[in-house]
Amino acid sequence: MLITETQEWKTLQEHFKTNIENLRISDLFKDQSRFEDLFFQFDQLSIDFSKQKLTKKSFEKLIDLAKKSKLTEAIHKLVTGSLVNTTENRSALHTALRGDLSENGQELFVDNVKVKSAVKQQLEKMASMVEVLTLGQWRGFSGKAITDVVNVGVGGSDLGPLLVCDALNEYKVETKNSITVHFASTMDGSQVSHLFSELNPETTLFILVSKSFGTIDTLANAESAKNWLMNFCDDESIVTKQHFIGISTNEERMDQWGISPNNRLKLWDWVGGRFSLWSTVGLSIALKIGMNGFLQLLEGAHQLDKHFCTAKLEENLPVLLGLVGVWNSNFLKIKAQAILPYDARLKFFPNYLTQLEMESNGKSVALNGESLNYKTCPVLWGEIGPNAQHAFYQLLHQGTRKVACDFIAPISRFSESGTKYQKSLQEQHKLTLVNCFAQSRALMLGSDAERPVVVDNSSPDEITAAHKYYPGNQPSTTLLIKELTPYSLGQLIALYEHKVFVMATIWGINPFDQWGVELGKTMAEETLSALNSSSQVTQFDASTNGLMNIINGENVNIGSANSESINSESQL
Amino acid sequence: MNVAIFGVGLISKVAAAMFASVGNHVTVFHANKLERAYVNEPQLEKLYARQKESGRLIEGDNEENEQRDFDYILVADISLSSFFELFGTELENSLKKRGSVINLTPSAIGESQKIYNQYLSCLNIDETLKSEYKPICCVPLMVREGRSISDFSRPDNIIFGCDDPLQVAGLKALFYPFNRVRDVIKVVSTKEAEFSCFAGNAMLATRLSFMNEMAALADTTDVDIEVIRECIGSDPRIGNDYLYPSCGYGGNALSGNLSKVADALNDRNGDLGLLKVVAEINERQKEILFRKIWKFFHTKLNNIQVAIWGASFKPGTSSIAGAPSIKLIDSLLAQGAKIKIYDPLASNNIRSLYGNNAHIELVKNRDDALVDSDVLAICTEWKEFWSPDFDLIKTSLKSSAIFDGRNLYQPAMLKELGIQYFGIGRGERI
Repeated sequence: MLITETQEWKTLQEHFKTNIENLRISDLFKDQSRFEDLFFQFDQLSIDFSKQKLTKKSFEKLIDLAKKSKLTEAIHKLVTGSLVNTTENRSALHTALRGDLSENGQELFVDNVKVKSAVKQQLEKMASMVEVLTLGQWRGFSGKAITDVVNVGVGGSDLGPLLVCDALNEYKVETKNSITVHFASTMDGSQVSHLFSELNPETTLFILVSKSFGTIDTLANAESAKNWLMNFCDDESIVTKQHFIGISTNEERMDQWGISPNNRLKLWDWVGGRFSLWSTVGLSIALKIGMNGFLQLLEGAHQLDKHFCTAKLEENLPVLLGLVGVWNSNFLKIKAQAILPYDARLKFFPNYLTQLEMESNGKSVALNGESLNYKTCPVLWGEIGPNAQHAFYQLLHQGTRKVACDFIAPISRFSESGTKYQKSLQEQHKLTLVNCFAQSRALMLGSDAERPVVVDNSSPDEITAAHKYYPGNQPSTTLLIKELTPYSLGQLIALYEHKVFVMATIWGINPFDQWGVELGKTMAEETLSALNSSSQVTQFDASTNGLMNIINGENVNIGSANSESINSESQL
Repeated sequence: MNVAIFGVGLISKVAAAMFASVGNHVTVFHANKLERAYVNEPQLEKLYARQKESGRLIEGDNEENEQRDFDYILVADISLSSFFELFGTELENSLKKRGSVINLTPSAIGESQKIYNQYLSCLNIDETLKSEYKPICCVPLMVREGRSISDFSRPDNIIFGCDDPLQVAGLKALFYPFNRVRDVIKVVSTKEAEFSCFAGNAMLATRLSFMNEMAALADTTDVDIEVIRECIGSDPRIGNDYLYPSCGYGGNALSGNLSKVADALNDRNGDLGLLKVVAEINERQKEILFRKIWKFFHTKLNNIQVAIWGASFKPGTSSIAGAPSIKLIDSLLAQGAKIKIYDPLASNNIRSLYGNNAHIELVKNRDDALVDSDVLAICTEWKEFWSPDFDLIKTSLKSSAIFDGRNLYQPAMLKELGIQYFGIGRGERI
């Protein structure tokens, strides 16, 4: 049975029609205790749902829906290693990566592997690599200490570490040998080529992160990196041994590529790529903020995991966040979700969530294969809030498409106030907070007056008034973080990981697979050989044929700037 | 005269021994309370012991001594502010009557004046009585480890940093025995004395790093840096001193004083970091022997045994402070190599640092280090390394190669002997 066929769903639809649809959010504030009722806190996080278009009653009925979906059971299955990833027959144990590794913590077995011991072992190996690198004892081919490390990976192997390293820049550790972390993800080679011009090959090390060790984007960048290094040292075995670390589930492929056995960190099938920053994938994070900082990140997430597993649904932050997501998507029929951090340190957070949410829940088929007749994941994007105010807030306030907004801000920032500019920074923080609160208020209230009615003989003033009118009544959530630290960032990310799981459970979809990314890859492989052909391309659709022929016509040899070929006539 | 000495290291020790040796009554204070730096210069040890025996030098830790009136209170090897924190109030009597506090190892420009003012306000001295308390003097001693006695007794110059002209006579009296051949005393303000101490050391460090850069250039141009050194050293404007390239200078004096000037410069805008680079070049030099050995063995150093001659940062001392040998040892151990090391004086210091590390063996004789070793590295130019048994070296070492951090040998000679020789800016290149 699809979730839409349940009584609880129908009850919610009734409730929406009768009690919610025709009201404005501001009307709901007539209830004096609204803020207290819809404001929730756990550890470093507080969430204000009172600007959402729902009531306490709505939450009660949503909780009923969650219970109908057997959410509590599902959570338990998730964290105890059940094969929740049904289409790939795998568990999803990202919680085990940051779990209690002491003797007291529970031991799980997956594929006969002791999860806790495996995680612990890899953390230790990771820690020792971090130590050697930061002591300056990891040497490049010429004997100089490695000073620059490039994380080569894409998707889950890139976005998580990139987000955390950027957000926690202030937590960079001073080490005996200073290591700078860089990121290269794109297939087109832009980032690596830039790094080749900036960095010293003698002192640069590449971390190749790929669960399968078959990700073409990553392998392409890796190949260029290896060739760059071999330009300066022609001994391939020395280059691969001193300048490459591999992080993957696939030992064999790492071996084939030439990753030295001591330079391999393990991943497992039971960790999804977009849930993997807590594993050895986080090596670049540990290099930047230190092993202690990395463990703090894990601890924050772990505390949120415990909350997720033990708190009553009514007070459970990820559950509530997920239920609001379903409410907005399926009952208010809002098709877009904006993530608006009011803190530029979180500038990569919206980007990170695009993968976390849309790759997980961008599904249209139920677990049993049945086609869905309801919407799932909204289109999600975001930008640093105050900047977005100058970018797309126009659409938010006056556009034709409704967007659900998550406002995120830290309570404390810039605590030092000795100098004049430090005081000035504190003022900037206050300014940012008031803007954050004002925007969600404006979205909710809109204009004071009624929508002006324009007729044929309306005056210019009346016409202008129509242009300046704000409908308001737009829902938003405001999430406050006490202070941005490794610990609280871990909590924030885990919050959204579990929100995604909650929504997937309600929608009855598998958030852990991603079959949708395969077709394009396969087609790309098929078309690659046609790109260098000298004859006309005709085997694909006309659009593809046409585009390929333009490329083939312009570049007789791809990669060589051949003036004759540029001047030659290209055939369409 | 009654001289009190507060200090923890070389300067305090040599000052104590030398002032006692010319007849002063010297009291060395709290020798046990303060951390004893592991200083070991054989001649100095003997002199110090003799002064103690004679009774002219006492190590005073009891109340009685602290009440005595001292003519001079010498502070060395600790900062003035630490000195006053620990002992200031106890010396009020001496300071009031006639004692001068003389700082032998400045830590900052303006230190003498600043601490003096702090001290006065600490004791709540009335403005009118201030003149009874003499200002602090600064006499920076250019005494080198390994040569402390000769440097102290036959100095090229003695700088009296003195803000009160009335103190000069007293200082001259104290230093009279060491100023007899010709008058090498120069009287300047305390700030000028402090500044000169740092600047002088910084200049010497700069010369050394400069030559090390020239050695790097010699490597890429296939030129013998020794020849260059002789050529430019013979130019009277340049002179021969402090022009030897090496695997890096160590010790506390050069590095410490250099960093003080570098830090002070860093505070002002427009600093292009010259002195910071001087220090970085020196740190890089300490890596050179390792990098050459790394390349020699094509990065495979696991289980390679390296014989090291010399651990102290310079001959004549047991001190390994900032020594290039330590960086070499750490880098080799990190790659799984084994080490056999010999040093005539510094063994104890190495042992304390590396404890029971199974990969490092201390040997009693120079040539014992060669047994079962693959190559030889030289970090300190002890005299006994200057003319070793090359045949023994050749037959003992599994890969007869010498990595010479002090340019002791002639490349041509070693080539004839069939020993691969890698010097700093000379010999074979790798």
